[in-house]
Amino acid sequence: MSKDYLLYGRDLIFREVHSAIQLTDRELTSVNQRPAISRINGRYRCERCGAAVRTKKPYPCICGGNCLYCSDCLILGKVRACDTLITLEEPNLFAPVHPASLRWIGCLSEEQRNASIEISRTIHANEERVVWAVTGAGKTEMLFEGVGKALDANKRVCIATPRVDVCLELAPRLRQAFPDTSLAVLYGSAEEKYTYTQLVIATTHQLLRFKEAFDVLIIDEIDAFPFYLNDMLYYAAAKAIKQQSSTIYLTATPDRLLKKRIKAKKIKASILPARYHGHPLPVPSLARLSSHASLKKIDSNCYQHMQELLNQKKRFLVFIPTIQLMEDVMKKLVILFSQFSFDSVHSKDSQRKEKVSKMRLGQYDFLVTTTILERGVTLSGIDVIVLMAEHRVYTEAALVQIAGRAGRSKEYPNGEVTFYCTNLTRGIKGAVREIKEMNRLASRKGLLK
Amino acid sequence: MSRCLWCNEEVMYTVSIKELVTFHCKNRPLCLGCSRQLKRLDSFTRCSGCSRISEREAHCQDCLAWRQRYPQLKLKHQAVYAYNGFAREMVKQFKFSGDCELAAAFSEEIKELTRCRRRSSLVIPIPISRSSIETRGFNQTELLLESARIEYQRVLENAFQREKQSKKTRFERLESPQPFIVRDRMEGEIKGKNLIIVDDIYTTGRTVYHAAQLLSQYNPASISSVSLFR
Repeated sequence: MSKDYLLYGRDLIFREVHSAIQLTDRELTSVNQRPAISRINGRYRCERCGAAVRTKKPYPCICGGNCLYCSDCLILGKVRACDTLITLEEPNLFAPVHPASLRWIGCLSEEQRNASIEISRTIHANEERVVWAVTGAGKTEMLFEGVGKALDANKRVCIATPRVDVCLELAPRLRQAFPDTSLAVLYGSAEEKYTYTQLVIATTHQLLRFKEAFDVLIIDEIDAFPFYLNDMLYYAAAKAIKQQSSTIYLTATPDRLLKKRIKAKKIKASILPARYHGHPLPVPSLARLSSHASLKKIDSNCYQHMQELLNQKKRFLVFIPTIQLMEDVMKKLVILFSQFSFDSVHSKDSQRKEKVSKMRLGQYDFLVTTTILERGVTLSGIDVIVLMAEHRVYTEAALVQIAGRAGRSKEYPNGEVTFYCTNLTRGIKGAVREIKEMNRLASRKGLLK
Repeated sequence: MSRCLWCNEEVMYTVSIKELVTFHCKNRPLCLGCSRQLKRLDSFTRCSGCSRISEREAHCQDCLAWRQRYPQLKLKHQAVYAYNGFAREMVKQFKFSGDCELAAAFSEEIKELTRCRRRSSLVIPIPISRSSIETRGFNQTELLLESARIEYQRVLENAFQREKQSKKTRFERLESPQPFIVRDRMEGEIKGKNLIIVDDIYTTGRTVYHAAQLLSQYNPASISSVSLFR
């Protein structure tokens, strides 16, 4: 494969590319180069991530002088003021797949079908759209038709998401649905090298390495980011798409700004208040936790609740706000539930993937987790317990997502969700209100069985 | 309100009485949560030769071996923090990802380490190899000293084109040959001075002993060595 393929639609630091694949002078004249850090009205901005440069002063640099650098996208490799970014215009050189890219056979509910048609139309017309669908509505399946048509029209398609877990969950499903289409999965610690593909699944950070590459960009779980990284996400999205292109935002819990834009009809929206199986979302029940200290002793109500679930042979997830607290609780649980098989998982766990798949296969009776399993993970037939729901990591969106882990499968649509808390926060009240609201909307539309 | 250099959270703290009385607020580059994860070595019993955490204050096996090899040196290495998992992450971000701003997180500690015990002292940072300069662009020890506003002299130079110390096994490190030379016209500077050798991390001691052994040939008044991590 020629070197050009590695540069089509990419936005890379020249120094890094050059040290990896040595460009000849002739090749250099054909690529577009621009300074990596630009100066606008006396302020410096990183061209790769769009953030204002926060470094206070220039530091000694490999160029021999002193240079500013961008500390916001350092994780993708250091961008120095003396660097240039190179890119080649995206030519869409893909082999067509016959007769059609999409091989998925499955059926959609009526609501899903409507949304799916809306999405295909939006993609065809190069427009923007928000798909606001409750957790477990079957968002991925609704994309297939639109994506398939775009691929057949020789468009380059990217599905981006802030979370690595969501990326890894999406990849096999898309590979199955589009078996003959070239597909790359890009994330921070990915083992495979970048190759030029028509379909790209990437974390939003990896999106920063593209420039005017995609005809269709789908961003899943746009609200999964901590707030301060939002600007970077929108900059990355705007940079990675072509001028003539379509962007689809998927979310179960839009933030206030997005809700406002939807209400004001500034952005087109498809709203799906019901799950594909037509059962209402499980409404969380609230239970009192006597005090923080008692968490270390395992609250008696909570203990009984867990014991009951275990006796009924129901499997469940226990959410705990921080890794530190989780370790404390685990020590107690190991003593209390020694006859059952269970484990804990958190973001720094090296066996995270294995443990989640073990839970999926039913090898655990329950799994204790931090918020990493809050979204994008489908475990069938489980109940959910949230401990210390008043903790500040549990925002409204997080709690809605967590509650959405329960009752996702057709066979077990009425999962139970219980929030244990010492006091009510805006997040807890908001989450319960939001879930009830969606259920009401669904029953008004006649979508519930 | 300042933000933590490591986790970007707001730094919250209670003002101490000393600060209230003197109107001089301490500089807090890291938040409480992050600074707690760095373990100060002075709260442990340490080997008096290399600041390693041990049960006794007597010299550890490694230090005894160094004494035997270089009987004239008698280094008493000082370090501030234990090189634990968190410190490792920080060093990785600082040195290998190249986040130079992090140097400011340790300016207080560096000041504390190089506080001149005697007059006519000379602070000497350990130089990095030419290949490291090419890939990294900066000498981390010099950056640390600069952010603490400590004056230093580039007395040494790393003359060897060799692998990074951190990529070698312990045995390879201990057996590596002298990499340093004293730069031109610097010999005179050393004579009669109290030298303070500064490095970022002390692991086997090989680097520091190389530097000390070389410098001792130019008749300094004394040699001491310090590092941020141990």
